[in-house]
Amino acid sequence: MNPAWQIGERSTFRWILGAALLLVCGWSLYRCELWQVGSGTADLSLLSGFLSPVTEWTFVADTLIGLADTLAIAVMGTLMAVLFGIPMGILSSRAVMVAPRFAHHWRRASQGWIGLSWLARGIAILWRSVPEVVWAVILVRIIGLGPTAAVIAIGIAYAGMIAKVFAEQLESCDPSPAAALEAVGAGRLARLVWCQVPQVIPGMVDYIMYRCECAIRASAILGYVGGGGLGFQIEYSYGYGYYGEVTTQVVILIAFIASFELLVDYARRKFT
Amino acid sequence: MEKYRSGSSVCWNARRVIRLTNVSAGYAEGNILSHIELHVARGERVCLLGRSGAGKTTLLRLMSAALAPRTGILLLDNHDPHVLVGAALRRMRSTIAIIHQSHDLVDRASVAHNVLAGRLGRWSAWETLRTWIWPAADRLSEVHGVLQRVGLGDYLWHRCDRLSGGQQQRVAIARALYQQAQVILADEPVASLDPANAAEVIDLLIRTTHEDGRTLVASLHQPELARRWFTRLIGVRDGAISFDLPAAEVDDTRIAALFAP
Repeated sequence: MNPAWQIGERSTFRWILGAALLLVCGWSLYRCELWQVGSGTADLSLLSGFLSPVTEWTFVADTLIGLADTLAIAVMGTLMAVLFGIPMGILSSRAVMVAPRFAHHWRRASQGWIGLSWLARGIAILWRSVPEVVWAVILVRIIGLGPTAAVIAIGIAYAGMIAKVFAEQLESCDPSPAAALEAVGAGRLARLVWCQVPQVIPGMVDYIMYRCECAIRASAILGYVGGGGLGFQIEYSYGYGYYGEVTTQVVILIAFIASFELLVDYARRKFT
Repeated sequence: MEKYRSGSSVCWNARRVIRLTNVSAGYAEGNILSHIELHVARGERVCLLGRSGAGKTTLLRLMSAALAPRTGILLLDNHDPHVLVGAALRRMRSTIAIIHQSHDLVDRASVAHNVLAGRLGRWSAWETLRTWIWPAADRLSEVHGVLQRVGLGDYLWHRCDRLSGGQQQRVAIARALYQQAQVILADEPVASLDPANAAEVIDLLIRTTHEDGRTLVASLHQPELARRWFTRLIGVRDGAISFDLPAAEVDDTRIAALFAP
């Protein structure tokens, strides 16, 4: 092996990669027609409507009720995602399904378990590759307008994500404690409960809290397609041109998400 | 094989608990050990000595049935472990305890749980789950007794990652004692400890296995510790056994030759 030759080869590759990246950026700029911003088509008169938020007590109370609905959708959606995602994550994790002694030659491991693992992985990919908004559009057609469709949409899409992250965390954590338990004769369930789950709990709690935060935002969007809650109210106010109301609603949503994040942060520092 | 399936009492009356006949073993890159002949009798305290990379760990992995030999015959308690599957394999594994240099404890779990884990090979699925959530009082008192023997009686509910390296090594020993394995294999159990702690841990290991009449096979790279505490020393060099003698017959020249570059 000639090291000088290797370096030359590598830097050529870097040049090609850099040029390709530049080309993709240029093409995207062209496609998005960003230079049209400010060329006269923008209606700035709309902005003035947003500058005078509605502060009537009855309206704020209505908005808070909508927010409560949105929160309920997010919590139920996340709960459903956890209930389906955690078992799917366990099933699709190779660290759980393949015994540690076969970790480096898993062709000798039980093919039935590996088949089940692939099945779980396939379902998780299908569930998460369709965005929750698309699931909601489909579900609203099937089960009608309302929060149920939003809950199931969030549940399905986020279960796929939680399954993937849980499986990855199980696979990336230190395998030697599980191997040590296998050496004392512990089976698959014992290794999972006594060793692998405790190892990944802090990371998973963090991730599920983050997903819950995403679900609050998502359920606001799902309101637009008929999922109920604050999103529905925003869509209604915007549709009728009550921009002051939209400002109030969005400010309340932002304040809520920010305080939720602060709360999670505080809880994390307190309990870990 | 029948023995492992029948009931909970596994009998280890055979005099030779570990028997390797013309064994070669290794990994994808090639053989680490070749033509190993080694018998260990019940109750012996054997120390494997040698430079790092000599094959000590591979030898211990063979004895713990974590690695199958390429050629030759490996018998643990007169049985080939690699023909066993499922419950029989788990039962066989529960009779062998392994203590690693890196402890391999579950960091976020309590000391009590890490010690209780030693018996996971003997419990049903239901007992496994129940003991994780709420260990029975008699089990806890037994764990407490074992922890007192290793000098950690007050640490039952401490989290393992809050303990020092020496304390973690003691937890690993407590797990092996609680497992009540007939054979205890220790791979460099004191490599990460300072000399005073190392002597203490070796003393503990020797004392407890001797009291319970168990077999101990440990690997070390400190010859002075080995000569002081073990009855039989085995020198391993370049994947072969260079000597296998009672501790009293191993002199400085042999040690020097074993560790020579």
